[in-house]
Amino acid sequence: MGSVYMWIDDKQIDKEFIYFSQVTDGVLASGFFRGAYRGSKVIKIERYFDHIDFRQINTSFYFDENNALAKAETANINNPVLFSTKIIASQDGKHLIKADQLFISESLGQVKPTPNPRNQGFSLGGLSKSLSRVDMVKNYAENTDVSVNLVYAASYPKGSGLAVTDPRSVNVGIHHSIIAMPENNYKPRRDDSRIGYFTTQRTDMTSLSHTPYRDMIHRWHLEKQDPEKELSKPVEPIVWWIENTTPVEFRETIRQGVLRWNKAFEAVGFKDAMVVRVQPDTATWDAGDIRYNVLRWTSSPQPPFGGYGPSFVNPRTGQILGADIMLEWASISNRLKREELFASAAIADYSEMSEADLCFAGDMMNQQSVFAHTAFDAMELSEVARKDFVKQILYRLTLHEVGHTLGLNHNMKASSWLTYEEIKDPAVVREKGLCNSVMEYPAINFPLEKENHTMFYDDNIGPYDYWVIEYGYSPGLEYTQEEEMRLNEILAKSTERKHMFGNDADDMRSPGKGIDPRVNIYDLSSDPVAYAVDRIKLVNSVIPDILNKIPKEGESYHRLRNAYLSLTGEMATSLSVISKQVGGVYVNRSLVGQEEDAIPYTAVPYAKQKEAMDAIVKYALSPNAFAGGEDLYRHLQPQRRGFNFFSSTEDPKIHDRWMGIQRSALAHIMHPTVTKRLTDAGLYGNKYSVAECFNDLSDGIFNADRATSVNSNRQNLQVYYVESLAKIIDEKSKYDNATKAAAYTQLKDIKRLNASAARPDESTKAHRTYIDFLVQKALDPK
Amino acid sequence: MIKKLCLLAILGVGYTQTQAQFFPTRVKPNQEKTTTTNAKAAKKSPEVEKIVAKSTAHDGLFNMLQDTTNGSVYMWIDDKQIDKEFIYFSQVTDGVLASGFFRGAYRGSKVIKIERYFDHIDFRQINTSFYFDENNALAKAETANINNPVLFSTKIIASQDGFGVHVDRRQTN
Repeated sequence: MGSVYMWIDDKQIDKEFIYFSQVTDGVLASGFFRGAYRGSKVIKIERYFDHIDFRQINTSFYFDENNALAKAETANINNPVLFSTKIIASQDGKHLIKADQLFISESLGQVKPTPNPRNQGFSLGGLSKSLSRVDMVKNYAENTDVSVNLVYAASYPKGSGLAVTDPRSVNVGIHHSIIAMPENNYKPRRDDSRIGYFTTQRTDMTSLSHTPYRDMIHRWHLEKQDPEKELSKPVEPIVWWIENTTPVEFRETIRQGVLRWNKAFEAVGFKDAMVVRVQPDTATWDAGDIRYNVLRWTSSPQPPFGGYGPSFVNPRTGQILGADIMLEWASISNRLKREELFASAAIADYSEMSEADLCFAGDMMNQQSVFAHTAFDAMELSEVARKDFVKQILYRLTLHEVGHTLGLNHNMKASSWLTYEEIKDPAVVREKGLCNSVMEYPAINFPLEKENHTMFYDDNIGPYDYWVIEYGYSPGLEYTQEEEMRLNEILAKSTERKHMFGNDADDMRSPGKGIDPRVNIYDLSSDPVAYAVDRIKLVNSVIPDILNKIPKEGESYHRLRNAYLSLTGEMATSLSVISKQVGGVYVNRSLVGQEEDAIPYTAVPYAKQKEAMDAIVKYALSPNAFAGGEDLYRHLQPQRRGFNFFSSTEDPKIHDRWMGIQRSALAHIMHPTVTKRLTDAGLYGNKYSVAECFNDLSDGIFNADRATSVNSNRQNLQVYYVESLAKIIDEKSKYDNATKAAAYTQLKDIKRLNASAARPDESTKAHRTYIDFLVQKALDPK
Repeated sequence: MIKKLCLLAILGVGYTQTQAQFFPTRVKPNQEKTTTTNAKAAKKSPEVEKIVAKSTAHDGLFNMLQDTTNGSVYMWIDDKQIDKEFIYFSQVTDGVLASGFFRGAYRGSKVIKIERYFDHIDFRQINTSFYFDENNALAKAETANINNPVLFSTKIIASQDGFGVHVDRRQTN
């Protein structure tokens, strides 16, 4: 049934090809989605007597061919045979093989993930040969494409949601491409630690260097039509197609978004480097065709991202051979993800994040979008502002994802460029934008005061973007030494403020991760604490109005509940941003001598850390940290849909949610990596000790109501804090000794002060008695 | 008009592939469908003759045959039924409570589509849980990341038209 055969020409034997595959369709429950790129690799077709072998070639190691060591370049490096099959027949120097098992299999690349024992959820069954199919064979001069549908079947699997339909039989579409190794005059360009390109890493095995890296940046092969001219069209422009799935009303904005990158290419001599066309409804090609770079739209159940901009390269050179952009409807819709869980909806769950080139911004973009629409309603902002918002979110999304497809990775420092005052100044923002790059995940710039509104998001590329494009795409010089000097001249500008850069490895997206609070996501301005505090003030000023302004006659209170969730979610994000100052260390990556007095590591000043701690105490830990009230809480009702809350209950779990928000503030400060750094960095300038830090936390959590009754929010928080301290001094604790000592001291103090604290009512009395019990248990575990 | 007789067991009958480039999968949009009319199918199939001769015919939505010697069941799939949606419904006629079954238990209904893949007939379940406004261009991506699984696939025993179209009727005459 539909068997596929393949001719292998003698001329193709012992030759290298590029193998690339992508997912044509899948289900998110098993981690697959339309348009996912699966990377490229070099393969070689070989003949072994009556067999044809497909061998993968390892391209990660470099040997200088002039060094005799190069004769040992295959030593201890695996080049595995991925597939082998008997030749059916040979004629005229051509060999016929049956190719079903080459493509309807995982021969050329693993598809089903290796089972993760920690993942108890849905997992795929085994590959069913009888249900899997070849969907399409397409052949071109430069590439052979075979699209298959792999079916993973299991007899009695776990259920997995509506999109899976029947978990016993799950389709995963894989589009295979075998591509001729490009023969062109493309020259790889080296990577540099001061700039943010995706790279193919290659280690120089015959070098004596401390850093024997020969990593190549990913970039397109752009050549001037007329190299003599200052400004010339490229021989082959990067052509983008807007897929016919794109909502018509967005197409023009998306087109403009792509073309706005052309300015950066003009600066290095290319006119119309990128061209945008619209895929006609009558097109006979689809986006799986690697010859087309397509801006695609999907509206997936469980959308995995807001946007995703993958590209694939020649592993030998880093030349980008193709790219697509996936855009999800969720990034602009009002459907709040995971909204069914009152306790955790719209509070970042960092466990979901994966590879750097996969923009997980989906959740947060969507959350920011719902937040913005809520604030629009509550603050009665103009229709113009709303329209601007949708336009800017689309510009930002397109610019950002196109940036990825040009080879750029994230610049999570970009939002620290302008000052707190500048982002509120229309003249400055008009001229400079908000961030130095669109490769950032900034906070939405939503003003505390209406009159301070400038822009929500950048709608154009920034100075860093111009600079990286200059590095990656300016035409190279012929001689190595001259070229190296030229590149160094560009790189020397890395110390300019407008070129500040930090990538995903640097950023502080989750508790304990990263060290430089300027490199963070969902923050804004060079004073992220002041900015985040404004956001919390905004949330607190809006919440009292939402009951009056959000519900719509004839609708359920679902809209109101979502408003509360998105506003308080924004509060959690802001608190998490503020907390990153504590234990922070500024990083400078300039090379030795490049910048006067530059020091790689500088502890965040004491005053900055204290300021952040004060803000955490005031806005997350104080007895009245949460805006709202009886009247609001009794209206936070979800809309019923069938039996949707059957196994739980519909009432708002307000304390759980508040606790979740407070944890967003405390998780980083009390993280073992951070508390240890407070002490480590004490050796090179940090003045905020872990003992003082914990003392400040205890004061913030216990002082305000020591002489009064303790409200239920604070009772919950105090218990959580005492339990956290107890874990730090527990036998199994992985904290460093200074942290353990600090925690021990706090527990002793809490015990002492608790004994004399006021107990004006039964609830407070019970609470204080329980605190005493917990402290006692922690101090004397027997 | 071609009908295909399907049997659960695999009985091989040669079927010549006429199209090489585009293979038909029915759930993907923008993909050309292939008509796989085979001129040779007009002839009487000896396999069909043999099965018909020893079977009782049951006519209806799908014409069915039951072998009087061993109870095997055959099903005619009409070309007109291919790529068409049907509702599949099942219920428990009897069981034991110890294993959770009881007479009259309804097992829900689903939409299925009968498809042809070269010499095979597939029964595919169609996911109907998600709605896309057809006036929104996004509707063109309505199959993205939604599973439409093949639940059953079997080889066609034989295909025949004209004379053969009525093979089941003949049997009842």
